[in-house]
Amino acid sequence: MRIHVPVPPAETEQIRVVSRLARGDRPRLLVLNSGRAAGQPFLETLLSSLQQTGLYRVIDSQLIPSGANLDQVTDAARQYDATVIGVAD
Amino acid sequence: MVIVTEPFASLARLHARQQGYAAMAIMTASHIFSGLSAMGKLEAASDLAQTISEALFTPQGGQELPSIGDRPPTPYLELESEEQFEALADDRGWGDGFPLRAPTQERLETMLDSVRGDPERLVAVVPPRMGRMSLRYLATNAIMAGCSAEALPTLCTAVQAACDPLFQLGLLLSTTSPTTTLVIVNGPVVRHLGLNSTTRAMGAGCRANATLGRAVRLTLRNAGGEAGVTGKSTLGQPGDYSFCFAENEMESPWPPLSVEQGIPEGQSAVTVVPATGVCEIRDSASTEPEDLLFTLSQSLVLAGLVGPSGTAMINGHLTLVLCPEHARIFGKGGLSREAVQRWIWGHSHVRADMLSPANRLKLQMTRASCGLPASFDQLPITKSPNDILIVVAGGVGAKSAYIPGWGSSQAVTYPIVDL
Repeated sequence: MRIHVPVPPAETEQIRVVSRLARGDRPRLLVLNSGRAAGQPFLETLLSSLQQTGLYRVIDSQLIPSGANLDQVTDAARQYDATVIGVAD
Repeated sequence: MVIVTEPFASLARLHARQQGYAAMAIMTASHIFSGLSAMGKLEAASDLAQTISEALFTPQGGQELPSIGDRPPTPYLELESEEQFEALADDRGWGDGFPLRAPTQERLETMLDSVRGDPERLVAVVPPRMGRMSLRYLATNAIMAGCSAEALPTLCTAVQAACDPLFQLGLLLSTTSPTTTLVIVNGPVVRHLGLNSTTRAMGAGCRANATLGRAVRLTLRNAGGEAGVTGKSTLGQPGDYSFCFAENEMESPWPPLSVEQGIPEGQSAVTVVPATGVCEIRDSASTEPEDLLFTLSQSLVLAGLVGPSGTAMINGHLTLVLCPEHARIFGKGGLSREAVQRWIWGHSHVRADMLSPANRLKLQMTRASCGLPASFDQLPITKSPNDILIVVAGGVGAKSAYIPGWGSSQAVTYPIVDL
């Protein structure tokens, strides 16, 4: 008997942003997710550590709020040509 | 680069692949933060920060990560029996644990018989997997759930409403919270489909409610989720199987919920609601609106529901299901739905002293990082009175129900249209 599969194919978007990281360049800009409260100390420490290298600049730690979807993340990355770091829980 | 805790690594890869970033670097950390003291978190973060910083300098371009569960699209299979289908569905994670009706060619043709136009037409792209849901796939899931062909337009509308960005389905299918999709139906379609709005409206016993709600869940899971990747709810909840009822419009003193949401009177509609659980609100003593409002407003405040925003208990919608006896008290008192919303909102607050010191501190940090005064005496239950959704349902008894939402997810209402 012929049985139909209930799982449709997935839509894969074309690459909309070619980040410096994907090109193998060193990231020069950084956008940080504010993260949820449980991850906040982690983000703060990470931020501090990365800034000390002198290779990163924090654009706005609140640019991508907790719970943001990836469209917002990619839009921000495109706007700033940035490598995006986020913490998810 | 994405940094995630280990249980979410596969979900991050799924997101990356769907966004066209198959080569995205994904770094995992232990799922540790919630159980550690503030000092412990700082120590753990210090250890990880160095590793992450080094990883950022490692070129990732061209390195293809293995995709998760990626199978070539196979619209149908040739099988020997329905038992073989059941076994396959279990293996692939297509079901919900209950027996499934096999979506055979004959059943699919019957289901699509009343559909005009191309059954391959796209009706929704379902996050987070971004499954391209055509009418044929929708009908396949409807058959598996035991749903009738007459319910297909209602099912389609519910799925489309759930895919509205305001509902935040991608997050709901990924979070550790148990939030599910409640479907509330209004209008003439309620009688046509035999949906229950009265006694046991939320409970077992009505085939139309059970199968429509089940079909919505199966469709969203199969199109938007991926077995073993999404669905990270810590405990889950019974509404994962099916959660659907109709508004008891006959016994409501107010216009239907759908009209309140902007749909014309007389038009059938579906409202999808984020539903984190169901809690009874019992009050058979109050006969005056003010007394009942007091009970309701005190019943909506739960310290354990306070989200991370630091601005309200819940940033999206929460739902109050009023039984007809309670609704009647407001009707006799001449209170509009809006007046009830306003009163409840004005008298329901999470006081700061209801929260543990650790939770208070967490919210204070969040508020400070958002430029708000860190200190607070109380939080409203929602951002505005309109975020308290009120619907009338049920039979006899002075038993209403509270259905908290989740995060910023908002209820979404769409009109039902023919397919």
